[in-house]
Amino acid sequence: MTQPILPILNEEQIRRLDTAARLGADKVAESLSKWLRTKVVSNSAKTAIVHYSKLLELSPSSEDLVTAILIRVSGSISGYMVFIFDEMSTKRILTKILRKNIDSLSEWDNLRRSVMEETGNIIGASFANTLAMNLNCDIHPSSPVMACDFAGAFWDTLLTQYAIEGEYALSCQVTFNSPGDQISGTFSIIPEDLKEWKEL
Amino acid sequence: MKIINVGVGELSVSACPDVLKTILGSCVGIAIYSPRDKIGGLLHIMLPRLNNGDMNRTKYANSGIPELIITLEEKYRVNRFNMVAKIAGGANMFSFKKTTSPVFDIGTNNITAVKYCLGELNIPIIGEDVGSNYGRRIEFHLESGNMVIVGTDKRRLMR
Repeated sequence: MTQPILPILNEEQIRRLDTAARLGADKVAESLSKWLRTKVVSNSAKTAIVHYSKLLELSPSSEDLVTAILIRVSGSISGYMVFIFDEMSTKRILTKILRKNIDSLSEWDNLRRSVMEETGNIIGASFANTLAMNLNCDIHPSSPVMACDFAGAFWDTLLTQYAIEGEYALSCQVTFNSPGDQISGTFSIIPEDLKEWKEL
Repeated sequence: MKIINVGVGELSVSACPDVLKTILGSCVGIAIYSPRDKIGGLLHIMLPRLNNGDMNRTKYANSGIPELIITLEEKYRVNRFNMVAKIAGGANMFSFKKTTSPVFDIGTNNITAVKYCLGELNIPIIGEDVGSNYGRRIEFHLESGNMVIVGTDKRRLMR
């Protein structure tokens, strides 16, 4: 499913990205552990060039309710970082930070929104810094924005970016797990222009 | 009855009693239907205008809509004068400032392009649920011509 299809990036470039993404994932897990006061580990990190339509297969079921946190990045490379947490994980993050039981995501007040955006801020900055350090480039993350909706609706929106640029995308998928609390999330990088990544 | 999933940038045509379904964010779903024949199609467009050299015509409003109409006319013998349209989607799901992310205004541009294209082809829009900031799961029922629209908070019917 995730085999390189076009020579946009060569094997060496993919390998470097893969290594940087793994280190970034570890750093994100460390930051998440501190923020949530619970152990979080990164389970896998996989970088690949994929057809944009295949990205849908990497996310939870398209009709599942998820929270997506989107961070725009600029600098040597431009694009978006996307963190997707499933419904249960979102409730657990909110419960942990707000210290009260959250059993429904139908209402999003400013406080809940801030908690999820701050979660995105913390993990986005950790990942961007590690990636920049290991690839020797500048990456500047913007303030995060979040929304809670169908997984399929998010991907529908995000895939339009690829449709503008062409048929293929760089996918960097990381999964996080907190064994005790069962917090799991997926992380993807959506480049605006794949050619910039070739220069790294 | 078959339930047919229409993927991103794809179209599907079928007849009563089948149901065509898809999930939309900033993309727009265009259902074109003949109440007389109970035959219709659902197109899931991603962008307003066809890019030069792109062979995937169903990704775009200005090439996908004519493609859907021609498919209904040529393969299913539906008369264009009996066709009506319902549209849904075109949300702006992330509230980035315009200066930082022009791409996420794509929902609004998609809606404008779809309405323009249907107008040019004289296909009347008899129902719409577009814009705003939430995703939609839509089901288009070819028996009734009804479109069921499900958001994360509510479910509504477009007759």
